[in-house]
Amino acid sequence: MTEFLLDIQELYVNFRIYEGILKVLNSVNLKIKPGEKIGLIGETGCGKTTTMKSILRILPIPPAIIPSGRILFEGKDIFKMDVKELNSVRRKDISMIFQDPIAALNPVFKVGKQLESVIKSSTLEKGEELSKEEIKKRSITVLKEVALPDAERLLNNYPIQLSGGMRQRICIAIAIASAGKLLIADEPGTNLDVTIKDQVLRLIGNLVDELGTSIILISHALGTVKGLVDRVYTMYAGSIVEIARIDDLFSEPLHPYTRGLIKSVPKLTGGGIPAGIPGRLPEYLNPPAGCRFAPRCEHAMPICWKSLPPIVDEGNEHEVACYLYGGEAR
Amino acid sequence: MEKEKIKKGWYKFSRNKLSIIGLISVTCIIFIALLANVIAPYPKHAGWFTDFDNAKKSPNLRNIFGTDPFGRDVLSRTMFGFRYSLMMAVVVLIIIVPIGTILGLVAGYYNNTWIDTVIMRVTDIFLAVPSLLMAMMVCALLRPSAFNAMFAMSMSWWPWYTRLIYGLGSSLKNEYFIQSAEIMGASTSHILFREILPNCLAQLFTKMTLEVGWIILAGATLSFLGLGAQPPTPDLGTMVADGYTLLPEYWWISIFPGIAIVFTILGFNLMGDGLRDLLSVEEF
Amino acid sequence: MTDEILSVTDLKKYFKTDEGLVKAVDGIDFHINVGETFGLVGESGSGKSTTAFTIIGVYTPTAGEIVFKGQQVSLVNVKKRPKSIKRQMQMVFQDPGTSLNPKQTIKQILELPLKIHHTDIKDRTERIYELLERVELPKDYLDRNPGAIGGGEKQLVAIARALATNPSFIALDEPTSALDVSMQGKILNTLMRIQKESELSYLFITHDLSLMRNVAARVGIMYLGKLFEVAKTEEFFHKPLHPYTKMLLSSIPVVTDEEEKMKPAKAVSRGEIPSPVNVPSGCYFHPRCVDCMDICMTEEPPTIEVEPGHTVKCHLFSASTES
Repeated sequence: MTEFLLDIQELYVNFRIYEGILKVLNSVNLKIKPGEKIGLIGETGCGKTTTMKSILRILPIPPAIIPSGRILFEGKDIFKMDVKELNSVRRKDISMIFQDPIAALNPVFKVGKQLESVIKSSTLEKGEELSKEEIKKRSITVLKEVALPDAERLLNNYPIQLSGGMRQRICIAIAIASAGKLLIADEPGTNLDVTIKDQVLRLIGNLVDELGTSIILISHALGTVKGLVDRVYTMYAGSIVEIARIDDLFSEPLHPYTRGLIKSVPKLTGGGIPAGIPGRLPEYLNPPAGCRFAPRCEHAMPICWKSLPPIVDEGNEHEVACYLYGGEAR
Repeated sequence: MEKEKIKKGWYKFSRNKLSIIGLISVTCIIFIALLANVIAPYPKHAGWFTDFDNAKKSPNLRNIFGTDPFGRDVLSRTMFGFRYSLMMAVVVLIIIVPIGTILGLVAGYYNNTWIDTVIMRVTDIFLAVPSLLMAMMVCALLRPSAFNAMFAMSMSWWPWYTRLIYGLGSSLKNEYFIQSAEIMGASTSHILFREILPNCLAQLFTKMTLEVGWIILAGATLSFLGLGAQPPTPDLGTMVADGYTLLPEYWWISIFPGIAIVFTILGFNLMGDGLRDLLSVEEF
Repeated sequence: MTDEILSVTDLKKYFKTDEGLVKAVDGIDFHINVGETFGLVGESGSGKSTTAFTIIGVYTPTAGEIVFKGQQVSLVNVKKRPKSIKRQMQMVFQDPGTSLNPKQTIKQILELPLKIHHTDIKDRTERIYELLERVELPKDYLDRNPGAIGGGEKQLVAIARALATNPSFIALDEPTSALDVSMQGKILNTLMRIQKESELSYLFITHDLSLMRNVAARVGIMYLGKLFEVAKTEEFFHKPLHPYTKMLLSSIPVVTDEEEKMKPAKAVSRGEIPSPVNVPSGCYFHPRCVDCMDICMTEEPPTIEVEPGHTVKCHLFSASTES
């Protein structure tokens, strides 16, 4: 029995565009155990969504090219699976909550129909065959679990008739309805109001605990993942720069980027406007040869420009990819 | 900077090989149309000319496309036909595009007011009358001529441009950059022509290119019915009319102009597709 | 005695829609002092953006008064507002992507306000260079299109454009919400620096309370068109009075423990935000309020000044319900 539910190994992903090749993902490594909850933090354009889409193999190929890397799900290589196996995994093992509930729900189908199709396909995959009545019952159950009032009437509504918070909750319901082993939540609640977002995140946390599913919670906001995950991966310009337990990350961030990020967040207790991190994301067309954060890093050394820093284990499940902590070039 | 843009534009345009075929076809047509009286073997045949001894001769070395019932060379007349067809398309577009666009801009910007209602309902009325019927009415009221046919076609074609620009304009009007211009105190004409219109040009040009073929077909239809260009003008539609009673025996008289019409529509359509690709925003 | 640059009295803006009458802004009062940043916070449907748009002049108020530098600007149809007023009030929008015309160059974008307000042609180029310098953008940006620059830089251009007419008041509607955290600092610091340099007054709208804490001098919180509480920033965050304010504050995701301690005791958010077409009776917040009393369901609460400069719109503080 493999130790990890999901194991992304040295993943590289490029995109071919007119101007050349965008080298987006630059050696991504991510491991998650069954039942574990991890967060993936990174700002816009760092490659988190690309990574997630690679897991489900929903990247458009071309223009995407995967020059090297493996993604193992329960020990099996996702890229080597045939369509049947892949679909089976998609139907019953991995589900995804997308960032924008408007875009994730089909506007011309009623909520009930969308739930029905998901439940049907996932249960068929597991070998069960449910009657229409049973599917309807399960739909109502799952809607109640996401605290949606008047579940029965809701089945007959179109997504456009509902508020943003309700739509997001339906997306969560759909993700749970195919109760799998891994839930990927891409910025859930980003487009929602603070009070509703709070409810939604809490809901996800409770459900994940109840069902024992693993979860990858993606966000650009540090505060979102606090209280919900065990470990956090920090991503910058296509590489993982730091991995740590959540409390350790906030109390003792090691990587200069993580430190800069934490400092950039305005504090409720005051302290003025933080300066932020100077500079901007590198061009993926011609990224720096070594550490991609080097151009913006105040601690950059000559070796940082030459080659990608190795991941150094600082103990206590805290790893960082930075020459400041030693390590030979990869 | 500019050179890069052109190179990239060409790359986007030429990704579909058919677009290149379209471009070549259109270039040929324009070339022929412009230089018809230089390259046509018998330029005089495009006007008043008869040679009944040579009438209805099938394609041969002297007349590559054969001759029509009046003894005129079909090839030369077809070449001139391109000229008249293109000219008609250009005239119609020159009339309908400015009128349709301005009406669309105004209606779109003032949408949900009486201005919108008046303009769009008038547009609807014109759209409701079948174009052919409209053309026939106009030609019945005035005498049939190439110019009147163009006028008639303009009357039925402009609403499509109003609709297009209305749709684009009314959605653009809520964008922040328009609000910003309003807040600053920009004049309405500035907002319509300098802010909204530039954002509509891509779709406008694509539409115009794709429509040239259809305008030519409509014009040819009218001429075929005798409502457009009058003899001896070598309009492609008239030429088809000249020969259709003689089918299938004297096929070359109608078929060659017919092929010319198809070739024109195809060429512009393919080029229009390429133009659409060229102007599209690339996302992966 | 600080000068007021803007005061809003019983401002109302209603919209007629297919679903019914939307009372986007339903009777609010506040003022902004010269050189001050006044923050307006609230969730969707609160009416904060509509308030800004109405003050700036995109919408004509349905009722109420807006007084800017001593002049009534609310009575006149916004299109007829004198250019001299338009020049002084500017706005920066939420979405940098659509605030700039994608078909124009930065130069054209910055030139427009100068053209409208009749700056001499020969002075324009210099003025544009000045503006770029103020927001610390390089001169070679002038020939670029908005599509070729990043989100943060687009916002800087939007700010430069707002400064072109030498305004005294700028409304900022979520100016950094669409940007990453690491970019926010630059934009906000630029705004603060410019404010000090030119004694500008800001109406700053955001839903990010942690940000508001560090930007605004005074804060107001809106809900479904009503202004529930207004206070100096310190008081607003350390001693919030309105139940909704407390609910909002307790929902903010924070990173450090000291911030966590500052948040009010968990007033767990519950219920949905009602649709603005279908507002509850009495106090709009009563269906979600933990402290809801009988009177809250039937009567709209009055606005009480609990301490100088700190007003609340809640029955808990009105004299008539004091037990």
